[in-house]
Amino acid sequence: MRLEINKNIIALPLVIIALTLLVGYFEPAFLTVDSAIAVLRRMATIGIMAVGMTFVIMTAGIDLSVGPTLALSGLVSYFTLVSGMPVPVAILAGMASGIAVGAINGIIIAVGKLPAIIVTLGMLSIVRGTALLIGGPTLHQISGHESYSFIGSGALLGLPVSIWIFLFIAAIGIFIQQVTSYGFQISTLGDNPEASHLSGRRTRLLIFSTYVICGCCAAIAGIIDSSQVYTASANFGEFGTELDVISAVILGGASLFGGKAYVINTVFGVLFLGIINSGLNILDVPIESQLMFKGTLIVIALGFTSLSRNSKS
Amino acid sequence: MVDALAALNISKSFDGFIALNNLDFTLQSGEVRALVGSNGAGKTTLIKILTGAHAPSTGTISINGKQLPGGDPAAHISGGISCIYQHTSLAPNLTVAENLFLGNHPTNRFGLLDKKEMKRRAQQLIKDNETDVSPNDLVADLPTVKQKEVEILKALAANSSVILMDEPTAWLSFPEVQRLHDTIRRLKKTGVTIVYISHMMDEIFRVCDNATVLRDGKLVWQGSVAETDRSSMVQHMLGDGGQDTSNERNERRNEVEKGQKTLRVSNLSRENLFSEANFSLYQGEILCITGLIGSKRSELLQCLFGVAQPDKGQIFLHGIPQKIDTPRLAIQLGIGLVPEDRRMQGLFLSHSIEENHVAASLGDFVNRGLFNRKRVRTRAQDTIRQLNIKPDDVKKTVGNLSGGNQQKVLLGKWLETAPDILILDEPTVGVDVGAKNDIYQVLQAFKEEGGAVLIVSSDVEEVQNIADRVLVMANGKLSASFDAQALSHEELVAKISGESVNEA
Repeated sequence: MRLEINKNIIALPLVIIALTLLVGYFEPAFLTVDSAIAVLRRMATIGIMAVGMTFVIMTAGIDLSVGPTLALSGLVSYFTLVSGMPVPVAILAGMASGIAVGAINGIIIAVGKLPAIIVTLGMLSIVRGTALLIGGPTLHQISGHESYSFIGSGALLGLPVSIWIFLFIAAIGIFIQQVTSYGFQISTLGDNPEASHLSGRRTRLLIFSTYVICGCCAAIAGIIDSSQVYTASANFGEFGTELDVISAVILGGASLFGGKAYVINTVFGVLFLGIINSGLNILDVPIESQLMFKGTLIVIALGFTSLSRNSKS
Repeated sequence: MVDALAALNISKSFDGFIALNNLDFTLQSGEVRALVGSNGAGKTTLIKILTGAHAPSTGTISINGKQLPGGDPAAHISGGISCIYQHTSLAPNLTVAENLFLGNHPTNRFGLLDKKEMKRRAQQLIKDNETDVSPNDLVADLPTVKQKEVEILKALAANSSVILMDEPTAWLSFPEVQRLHDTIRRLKKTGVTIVYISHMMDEIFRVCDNATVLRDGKLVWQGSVAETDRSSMVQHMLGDGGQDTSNERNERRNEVEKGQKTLRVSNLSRENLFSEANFSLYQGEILCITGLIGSKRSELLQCLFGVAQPDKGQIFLHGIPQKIDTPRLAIQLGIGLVPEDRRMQGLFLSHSIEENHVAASLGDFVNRGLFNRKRVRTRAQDTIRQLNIKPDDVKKTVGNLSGGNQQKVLLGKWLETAPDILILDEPTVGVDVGAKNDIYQVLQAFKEEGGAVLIVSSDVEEVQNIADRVLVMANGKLSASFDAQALSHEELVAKISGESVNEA
């Protein structure tokens, strides 16, 4: 099997390398293995959600509800643990909560034919409310569950487990998108929904499935998050999480209008975003300037992708 | 006398496809001119050039002797050309007065909108043109015909001396059409020049003075409608049939005469679209349904492919009644549909040739959920060779191919599903001559291997070239079938224009 490499794919890694070297020039500590691991670890949850979001965006959809879904899944896992269930059951329960949110999104969008941006915006609020109802405003400390904490804080072969999970999910995502019939169907659906329907595809089922995938990824991110800080809270996945996730996908070259996109490019988008975040931190740039700089950079990067897209057509 | 509108030596080409070829189009003040031609004849391109949406490749446009820049919509409107499109271009949530002066509203001395003056002028305009609306009416609340009248007023408010009307009656009932025609006659008296674009022969003969007929981007006939009749007009539109190959084809057809009946349609009806359609399709034949645009042929095809549901009637496949409610089921039952609009309904434009090729037959290329790219490639390469697709590279993005090659990719995609019945809706619109012949050959080969082909086509030349039997559809009614050879070109044209069908 040979991976199909998008031509645009070369540009982003080059920018990432250049940016890393630039930050490293001012702060040599940035160019160490420890620092690289720290960058990846910070981006693991965003990265996992971005992989799921890529499939949604390929269908010209969007999911704004990933932040609260992350919080909900952490809480569901916490309460399952507290009730005395074993760790694997807690993990499955957390994932199930994310899948349920995704399924509700998916049914309303695919069958009800309502715009994804409105449905998931509503869901953003509904799921946050649900999480607050379940968990209240307090922090819930998770203690005494070694194997649960291992997910977020443990390490394997020198790499944190959360990074392994991100790499694993990214690999699955790349595999699904590149090699499976499902990935092909999602990509053609996004390119032309009517032609897809007339070619005998089950378009509603396909659209539905992408929101389930996205919800499930958000839930996995929620489990990692809660185990990383030994805490579950209804306020995790704060406002802006969904924007980071969507930015990573778009930086990877996916079009909000749907169609072909590459999960591998999303992974590079995640790295790009991570290096900006960590690089600005390590250079002691104040948070207000960080936000402005980050926003500007994203708009410039998007300008370039849409330029190269336009020049091709 | 200076021409009210003079478009001279107009040519326009898109990526090597010549849409208009050295056309002269001049109109006198107060003239109502019909502009007719079948799909792809170049009418739309001409309208777009006249409104300034497209710049012509060559040629000049002038109004009352004053030359317009070309390719600048604002300059064309202020120069005096307005266009009324098939679908309304009014802002539905604004009032009539606001719509009339949208873009050039009167202002008071502070530069703000002068509502009083706007209303006064709107009232004046409405009165002058005997229109039955109030300046305060919300456009969304008006019936379609009044919206059309408001659009005409809007054109007059912009001081237009030439008004283009693109299928203005497509959404109107019969009395409303009469009313619109009265308005046109009134405008004519005031010296306004009108270009009336329509497929409705009745209307053209009722309201127009002269007619211009386009075919393949060229002027084929121009003259007074009083000196011609419907069938010669349709004849001009559709062109002279190619009779050359008919004998050879006749022999071939006789060989496959008694094929199996694969599809039978019985009393199929859909409210307000078509009624009581009856026909059979046999193995090893090409059946064409022809007629003018708007005769609801595509709507009939949609029912056969599960895109829409008939209200009444039945569809039999190999003698078994079937309820086809999704395209997915239609494909499983062995039906393929090459839709009318390849870009909107058929192709995945940002995907490659090979990806498009397998999009309707994925099951054959998937093993336990995994895509067999190697098999995809070989099959796509075979098709590229068989259909003579250029460029012959399976990785090329379909959006960058020419119209003819795109159509071939689409045809290849459906042949890959190995259908019993292949349905094609206007298979060669916007396709160059070479690709047309390639497509015909492939369809002949498919038929000779026992396939059944159903084609909807408005191109009489094409129908005479390729059909074994012909059905004519007019206003949602299907005629009995004719042997394509038994019918002369003139007879077929007469049937299409609706004369003989009415007599029978």
